[in-house]
Amino acid sequence: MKKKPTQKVVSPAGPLGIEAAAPLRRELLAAFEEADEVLFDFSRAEDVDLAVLQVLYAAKRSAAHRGAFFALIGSVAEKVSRRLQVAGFTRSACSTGEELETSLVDFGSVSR
Amino acid sequence: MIDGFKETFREEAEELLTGLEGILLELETKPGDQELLNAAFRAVHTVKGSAGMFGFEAIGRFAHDLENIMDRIRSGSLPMTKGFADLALASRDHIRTMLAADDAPEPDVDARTAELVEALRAYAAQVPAPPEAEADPEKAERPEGKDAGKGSSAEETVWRLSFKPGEGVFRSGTKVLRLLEELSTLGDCACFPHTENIPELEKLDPETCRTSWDAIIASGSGPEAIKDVFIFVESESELSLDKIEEAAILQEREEPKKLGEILIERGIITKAAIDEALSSQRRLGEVLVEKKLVSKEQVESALVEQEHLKRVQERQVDTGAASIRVASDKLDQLVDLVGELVTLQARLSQTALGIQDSGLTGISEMFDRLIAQLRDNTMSIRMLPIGSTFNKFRRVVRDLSLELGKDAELATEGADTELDKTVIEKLGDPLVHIIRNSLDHGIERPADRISAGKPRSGTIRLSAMHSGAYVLIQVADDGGGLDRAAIKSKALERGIISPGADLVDQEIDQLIFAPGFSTARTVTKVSGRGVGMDVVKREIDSLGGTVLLRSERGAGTTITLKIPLTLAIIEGLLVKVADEFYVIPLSSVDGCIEIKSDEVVERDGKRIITYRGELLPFVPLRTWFDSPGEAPEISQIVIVNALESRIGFVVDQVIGDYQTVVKPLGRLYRNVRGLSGATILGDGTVALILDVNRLSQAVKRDTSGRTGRDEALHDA
Repeated sequence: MKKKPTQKVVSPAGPLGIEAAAPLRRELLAAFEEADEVLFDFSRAEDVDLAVLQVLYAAKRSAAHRGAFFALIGSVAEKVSRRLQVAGFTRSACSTGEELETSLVDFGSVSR
Repeated sequence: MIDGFKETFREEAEELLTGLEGILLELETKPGDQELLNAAFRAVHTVKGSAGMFGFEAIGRFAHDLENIMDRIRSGSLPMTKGFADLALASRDHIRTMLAADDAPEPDVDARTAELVEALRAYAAQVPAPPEAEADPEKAERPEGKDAGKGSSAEETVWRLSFKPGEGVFRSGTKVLRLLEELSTLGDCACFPHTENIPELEKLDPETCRTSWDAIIASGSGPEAIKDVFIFVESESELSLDKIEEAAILQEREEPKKLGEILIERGIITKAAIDEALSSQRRLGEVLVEKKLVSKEQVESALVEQEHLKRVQERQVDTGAASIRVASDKLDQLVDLVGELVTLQARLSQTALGIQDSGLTGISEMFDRLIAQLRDNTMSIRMLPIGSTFNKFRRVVRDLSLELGKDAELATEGADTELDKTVIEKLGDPLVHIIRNSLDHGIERPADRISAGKPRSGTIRLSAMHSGAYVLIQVADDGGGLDRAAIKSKALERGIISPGADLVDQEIDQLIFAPGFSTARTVTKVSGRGVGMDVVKREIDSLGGTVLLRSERGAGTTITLKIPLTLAIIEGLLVKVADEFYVIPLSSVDGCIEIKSDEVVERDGKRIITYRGELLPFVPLRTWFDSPGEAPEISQIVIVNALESRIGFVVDQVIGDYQTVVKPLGRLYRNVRGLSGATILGDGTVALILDVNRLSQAVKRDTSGRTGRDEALHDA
């Protein structure tokens, strides 16, 4: 019988500036060790910096490499959505992690 | 020719000064708002520049002094204070006066100029100006803020930018995404991030920047302004900026740029390689990626540029034809001509109906549809948002509350509500009267407000909204409400009512609209001369509108103006009474029912019918207008929604809907209550247009059978 995949949700809170990047990387690495599916929940993220965004891109690439699953979920703050759109990461406003997942430039193409 | 240019300058300066007034008033509440400071500076700078260009030299010199201070305020070397707001508003008013005086030397104007210049210089002198504090013309030309950047497409240039932040940029605390946001404020910008160098999580150093960007920006700002965005990371980053094209030249290209062209321009690939790839008859991007001549990201980035260029190109075409300035009298002539066409169309359709020729009927029907569209389009051109007048009222509230020692602010709602231009023009004075009255008589002094448990600052709420073919404009204050005892005793003193008159609250409230009425104990500069509210009522009546008043002691007063959307052409219901035709505005009509003469019920002297389960009063127009002859056996009742209730008007025959070109009434009919105008029918007959609200009020007041014609005599 096939084992049910284990899941871990990472849901950091606050403005997620540069200082949040290193702890997030560690948390995601640990999550990949513990579970087959790792989800990043945007709901409590008030803002994101490029350093954190890079960690998410890297996580997506790691998941592809490991044969694991990594996805974005939760509601995305308007500020975050606008920031990503202005910097060209998305072409339109995204209100959920699922929308971001499919809109982020070069994000989904690596895995899944 | 020069006069024509001067006139254009005057019109534009007038618009800029109106905008400046709004900005300055907003700055009073948000003194640190950089966008507002920039916008105020730009407005003064443009006035100054154009004034010099068109020979208004005195205005140019005066605006220069104001501009210098604004430049220092926006750069932070001078504070934005309430005192400066007063001075800037006074200076703005003075520029208007100078414009009106045609910049000619006039002792009064010159003295005021000198006085204001002295005050401006004194303000500037409170903090010594740094050497670079003189308004930098190049900086001034540079549009700032998002709107400015996007609004100046005429002088835009399209730039291609490549930005690779240094790997250690995070460690210096730079927020890279903010730089791109700042870039986007300079113009229409599209960014494409390159993320291909971001490794897997295991190999990622979270403190190393692995992302770079290609961007394309159409901006009126110069290259220095664009580079300035990156000034703090310049030393550790790679930045290149290339001019692609003037936006205006882009517009002249027949086709948008091709992908191959962009890739060659970027130095990614040679023309030979492109030609070879094109020979395979497949999508260029796919072939190039497949042959590993370019990366997928490079193609995607070039596609973003291509799309952006296309958009800039389209926008250039759009802005070229977005709007034109037309003299309003030309527009009025157009409306008149459309009115004539509508009348002629009515004649055509009537003739076609008489001849019974299917060909002619078809043409007439088609013509009818086209004229209806032409009418709607023409009327919509004359529609303006009422918000354009709101600034004026904000200023009235500000200046008056200062003068009266009161604390009040104006809140506005529905600034986008559109209304016919001529109606808006006529509304200005009545609204100023109402707002002045609210401030003078309604809003209490701060100490009284506090002791009454209210906030120290009073609020006057000015709102506009659509309601069918009408616009409702409301002025509501949270002041003390009407003092009915004082109103009644004053009315008695003035002989407006007789001693012992038994009046209900509503009737007492209406007394303030009586000519010569005033309750102010002293005649103030503001109001209290008793020439306010009766003038308001008369002017609103002349617009075919009505004034409603609601007041609660201690809680405030609300005055509602119900104004027709347009005065020129309306949809009406044509009815006949004896040999006379009447038009009832279709927007007021609720329904039509038949009634036999023996079905009429009389109750307390009023004739009543049952309509949709409701008992409604009705009045035969034949009796009201004293028309000759007997009523037919079966009559029609047109049920209309009047201001506060529904009422029925009995007519002999309902003919149908009718596009009505409103013509003013002649002297003889002008004072007949219940008529608002006249129109000419297809066969040349005149039909009178009913003023449903006033007619129903008159009917309510007088059910004893006094006729409209009696009233005409009475009023005259």
